[in-house]
Amino acid sequence: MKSISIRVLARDGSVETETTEYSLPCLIGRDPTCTVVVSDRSCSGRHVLIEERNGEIHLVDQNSRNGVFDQQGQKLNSLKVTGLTRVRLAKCWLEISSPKMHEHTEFMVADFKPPPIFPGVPIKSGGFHLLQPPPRIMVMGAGTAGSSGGLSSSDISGDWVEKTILLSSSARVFAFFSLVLFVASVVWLKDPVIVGLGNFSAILFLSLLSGTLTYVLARLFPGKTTFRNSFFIYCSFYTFLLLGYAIFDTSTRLHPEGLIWPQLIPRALAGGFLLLFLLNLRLIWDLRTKTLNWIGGILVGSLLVLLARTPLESNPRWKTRLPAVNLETSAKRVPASAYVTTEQFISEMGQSLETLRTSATNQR
Amino acid sequence: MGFSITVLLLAGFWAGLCPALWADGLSSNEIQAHAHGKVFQLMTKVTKGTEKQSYGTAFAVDPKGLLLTNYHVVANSILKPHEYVLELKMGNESMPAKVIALDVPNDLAIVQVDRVFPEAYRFSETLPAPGEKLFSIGVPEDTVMTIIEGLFSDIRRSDPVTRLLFSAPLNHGMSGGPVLNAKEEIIGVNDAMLQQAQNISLACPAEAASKLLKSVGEPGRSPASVIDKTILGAQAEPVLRAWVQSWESAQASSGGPRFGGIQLSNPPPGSKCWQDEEKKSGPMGNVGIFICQTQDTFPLSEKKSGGQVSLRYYWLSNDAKKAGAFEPIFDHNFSVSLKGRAAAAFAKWTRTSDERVNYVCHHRYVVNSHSENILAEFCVTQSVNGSNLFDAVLTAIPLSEDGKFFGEMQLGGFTEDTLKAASGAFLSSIQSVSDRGDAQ
Repeated sequence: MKSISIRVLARDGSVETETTEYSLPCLIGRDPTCTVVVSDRSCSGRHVLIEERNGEIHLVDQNSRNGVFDQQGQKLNSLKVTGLTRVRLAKCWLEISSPKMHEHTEFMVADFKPPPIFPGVPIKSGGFHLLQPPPRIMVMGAGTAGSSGGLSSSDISGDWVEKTILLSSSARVFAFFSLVLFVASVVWLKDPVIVGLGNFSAILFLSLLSGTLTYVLARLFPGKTTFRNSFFIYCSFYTFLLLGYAIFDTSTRLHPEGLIWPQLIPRALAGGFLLLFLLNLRLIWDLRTKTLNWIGGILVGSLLVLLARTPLESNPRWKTRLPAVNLETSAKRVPASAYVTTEQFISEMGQSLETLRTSATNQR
Repeated sequence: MGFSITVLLLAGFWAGLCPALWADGLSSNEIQAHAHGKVFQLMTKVTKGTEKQSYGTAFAVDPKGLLLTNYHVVANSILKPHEYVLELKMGNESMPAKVIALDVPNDLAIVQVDRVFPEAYRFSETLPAPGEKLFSIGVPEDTVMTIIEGLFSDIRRSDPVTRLLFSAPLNHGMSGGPVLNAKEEIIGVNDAMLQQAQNISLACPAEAASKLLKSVGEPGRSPASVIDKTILGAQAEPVLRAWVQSWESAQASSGGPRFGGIQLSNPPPGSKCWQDEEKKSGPMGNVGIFICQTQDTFPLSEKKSGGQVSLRYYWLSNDAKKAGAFEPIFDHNFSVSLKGRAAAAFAKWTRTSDERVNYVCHHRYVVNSHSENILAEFCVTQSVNGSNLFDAVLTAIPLSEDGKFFGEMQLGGFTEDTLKAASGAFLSSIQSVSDRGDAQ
């Protein structure tokens, strides 16, 4: 039976478990039943399996949530272990060596420094340490990454931002906030449609709700939560919710003319995306090295600012789309039978007053 | 010229030196000293508990425990008798007070306490001359009794109610205090200050107060039985009716402003009218506004007033050719749709006010007395819950103008009959004229 030596390094480069020999197959993960137990929370319960196949030693990803990567940050599904091999399990490091390479391994391990997360940033010996304060990454939505439990760049390698989910503890933070806000609006205002909270609070609430929904989706489909997916899901949720709010807001509902769709839709969209842009300005800034993100963000944002600011009536394209005036202003269009005399109208006013009086009496 | 100025200066000098010689009356410190046994703070307190809800001033007008004050000082105890009680503060002592007579349009009330006053103020028989010195006494902002000197300006016998105008810096809490002349005679009762103005104060006329006091003494009258909410409508009715009738008779005579193709009838006499500059409104035209408002109203409750009228006429002044062109402009300028404007205003108001307001809205195509086709809409609500007074918004769009003209009337605190009469007058104030071009 083959055996193998494994050493685990924590995310800061410190040694978590010293080099130990294990017999194959060897399961590695956070679960206490694993052969090698790692403590890092980013690892899955059963993260990776090292087994013997046709006399060769193979490392196989056990469909872990955060994946297995080689030193260059390339995601791996399986890897043939030859000599000293270093892989990254989510955020901690694993060093594997076959016994006959043992002596050589000792030498190399002593020399090992985890590769830098951001190329060009100096590394101190004995683990990596950023000299500059890490830029914060804003998670999609209204919440910023909290200092405790939030994502900071020291957790994220360059490609991780793009390839792995951005939703972590911060998503939980704003999911919690949205829950509190919702409960408060129901209890305090006795109205789940958050009527009266005002538009800004409503928009804030909707963005939080979208963030929560995105987070829930991210949890449900861990394998598919790429940055692009999250962004798209968030935008969709947000737009639909905002549109829904705009439609069912009391002021709109009470509008006697009914809904004016050509006005409502572009404004809801523009307003929604504008807010989205502003909320994620920081994220866009953090991704500034990706030129396309940067240029695209600015362009789309400016366009939406312009759109939202332009009064509908002064835009000739919208003007033609204004619905035909519902008001029967032309006498010809009102049938003669529809008219009443002033006296009749005033007596109807009397009936209305009577309605008011009786309803007041009933209340008492 | 030089001589006369010197004489005036000298006269001023002597006047400053010996005020008692100059004016045949009392000085302010004498009036203040005399006021101590006659002017008191009147508080409205919550029935359950000792907290002050509001405070005003009342002053003795009859040794048999009768004091004069404003209706608005005692309004809460009338509108919500189970929640509020009145207390008169005399020095360190407080005693319950009871309202025994009201004059709502003149904002006057007489309260009675179980106490005999050694002396009381008398009413002046005549109005002061414009420019005459007056003294206004009260307890401003819950502090101490204060005397304020002012000058009489004029009496305004205008629409619905009559008020005296004088210049003095009145403050909250002085309401219900006396306005005296230098002979210590009552000229009026402190009532209000004009908002967004400096030291222009209003007083209820002594004439009405004296009449109210006399009515208390009339035999066979049991005042306590009629003092409740129903008195609001009953007392407001005659003044409001007189106002509507004066408008109706003004309408009967020709004249009145003309805007575009619409000839308006004469506005209500006594109300203040002005025409705003035509505002350019986007590519579609200019909007002109003609506004008429009543100047003096009477308070009904803390928030509501009676006899409040605001008439507004809007028109598109250029030759917008499209039918209904006013609609988007109106929407752009006022954020509400033309049709349903009254309903929208009420809906907004209901959402912003802290109490739930019941209201009813209704619209119709109406033919008015000039055979004019009008799209009319009204919304009505009760001014004070359970009272017989109403607030209303009425809009009228003459169809002949293709949506380029829009009229609106807001009424506050009207009785059913006067509300109907005013609505009729408003609807018949609009008449189209075929010859658009030439002015009348």
